[in-house]
Amino acid sequence: MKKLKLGGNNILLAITVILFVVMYLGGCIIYADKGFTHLQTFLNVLINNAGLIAVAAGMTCVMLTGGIDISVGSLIAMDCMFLAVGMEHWGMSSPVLMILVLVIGAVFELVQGYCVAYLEIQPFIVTMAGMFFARGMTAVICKDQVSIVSDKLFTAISNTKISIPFGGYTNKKGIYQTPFVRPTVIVALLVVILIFLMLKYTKFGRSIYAVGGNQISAALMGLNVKKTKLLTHTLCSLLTSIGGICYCLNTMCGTTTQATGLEMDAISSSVIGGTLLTGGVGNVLGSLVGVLINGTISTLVKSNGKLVSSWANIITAILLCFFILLQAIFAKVKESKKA
Amino acid sequence: MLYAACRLRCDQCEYAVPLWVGMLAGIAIACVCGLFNGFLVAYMNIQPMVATLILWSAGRAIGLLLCNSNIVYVRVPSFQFFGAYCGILPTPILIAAICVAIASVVLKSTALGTYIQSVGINKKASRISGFNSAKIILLCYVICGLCAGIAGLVATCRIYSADTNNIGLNMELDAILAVALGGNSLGGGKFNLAGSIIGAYTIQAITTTLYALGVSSAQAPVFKAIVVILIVVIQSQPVKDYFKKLSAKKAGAKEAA
Repeated sequence: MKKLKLGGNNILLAITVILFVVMYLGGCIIYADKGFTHLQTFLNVLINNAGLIAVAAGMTCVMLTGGIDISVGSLIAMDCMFLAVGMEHWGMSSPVLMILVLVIGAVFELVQGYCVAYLEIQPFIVTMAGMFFARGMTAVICKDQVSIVSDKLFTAISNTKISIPFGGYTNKKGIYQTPFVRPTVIVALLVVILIFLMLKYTKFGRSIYAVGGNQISAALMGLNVKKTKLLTHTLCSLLTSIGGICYCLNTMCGTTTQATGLEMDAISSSVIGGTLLTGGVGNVLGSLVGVLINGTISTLVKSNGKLVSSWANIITAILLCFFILLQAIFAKVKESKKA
Repeated sequence: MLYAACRLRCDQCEYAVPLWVGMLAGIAIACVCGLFNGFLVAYMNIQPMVATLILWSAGRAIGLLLCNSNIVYVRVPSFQFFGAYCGILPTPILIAAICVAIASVVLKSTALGTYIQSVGINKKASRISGFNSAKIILLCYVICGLCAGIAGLVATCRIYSADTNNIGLNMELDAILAVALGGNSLGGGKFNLAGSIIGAYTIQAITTTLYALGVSSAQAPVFKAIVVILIVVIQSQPVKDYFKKLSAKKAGAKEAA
């Protein structure tokens, strides 16, 4: 068995996991009377953030190559609006719409990925333009809020509860509540496992790490840097579309202001999970823990009841700042050790 | 910017502080935000895009927190001077003209302008030549924060209140678009202040035209995004090389003929 080296990269991941455990235990202790200790609370964090988990996995892949993608939030909003309008106004069936959503996501990102990889434009600018484009298209498709009520298959999937046989509790009325999980969580966790296996064991995964580590060395080694970047961006948007479908199953409506700031949550989850901003270092499992931390913060803020919901944003931003500074300090320490 | 605007109002109304103190406090907060960004970019060597991402999301949240999620109205009559008219000229134009004049004097005629340009073109070479690149970058971010604070001041004066949710929404796209349209390279270095101003007016003209055509404010970003992509694509290196090759071929064909 290989021993887990507590090297520089693993320290960040270790800090993240410890932070999550501490936060959750703290919540359990402080808010024990409000039901925080129930297994259902943890499962609710997973259910509410299923879309974000898929998006964070895709974002990790893009950040591993050294790029960034801030159009994901608006892409999810566009997907939700497309799904909602498609089912309500155009009367199409949901499997067809879901496949269309995946195709739209892939095409959208192909354009962006082409600009980033082959035209060598800075990814931030391209994806920012993409973000505003998608946000505007959401309003073009439909200006008002559309709720999904008519499609039977979609509403059925959204309301399914997959029960977990253990860990239930008896509520105040004496009825035993079995904890449940929705299908979207299964999809999201499957995505994370697949991406983890891909990054670790396939050639494509290794070339992602190589391109992120040092682009010029990767090119000299013979890897097709441009194709890797293009494929990574397309993969990210495919995962975002899957996340968008999960998000839509959760909210069951399409609005123009949906998912604002989701890209910030995805980026902060990846960074808190140990992905270096400059690329080449990172782990999808860390991003999963990052999403859980995000969810725990909003649950803690909600449980308090006295704090305004903006506090969740501020705390996430402070954590992000802390982790970015930590990464920068580690990088400086590494450089001074080399010299 | 919205953080500065909201802090402005809250200082005045809730704490019944005189007008000038409130305004200066708002602009000071904006400079502090610029200082924070500059510290992260210059001294910690973090990519500027990501470092400013933190305040992008946190700024609005902090502003909402300060106002307790309300829209704060200012009922001091002299406050409206900044948004209204000064004689026959609207005051915002006067403020913008003063800012541009100061910026052009600093950038063109002082040594600081030359330092900024050299740090932008090649950061390492400037440091080896003896400039304190980190300090200059920090100063640039503080100036940017100052200008954002002034912009926030003008924006709140025009509507006599501090609306945390809507002031400055999507303005970063307009700002980057204006700078890119003006011919400034997004990678840094040579700049053209007059170009940026023309770019800013062009963007505002596009926005106003879109509104006049009946496009709603939520749909307008689509067109602006297309314009951004087109400009950035034309400015990118491979496209420039392509055009160079084309003109070289044409010159070669002319010589042969």
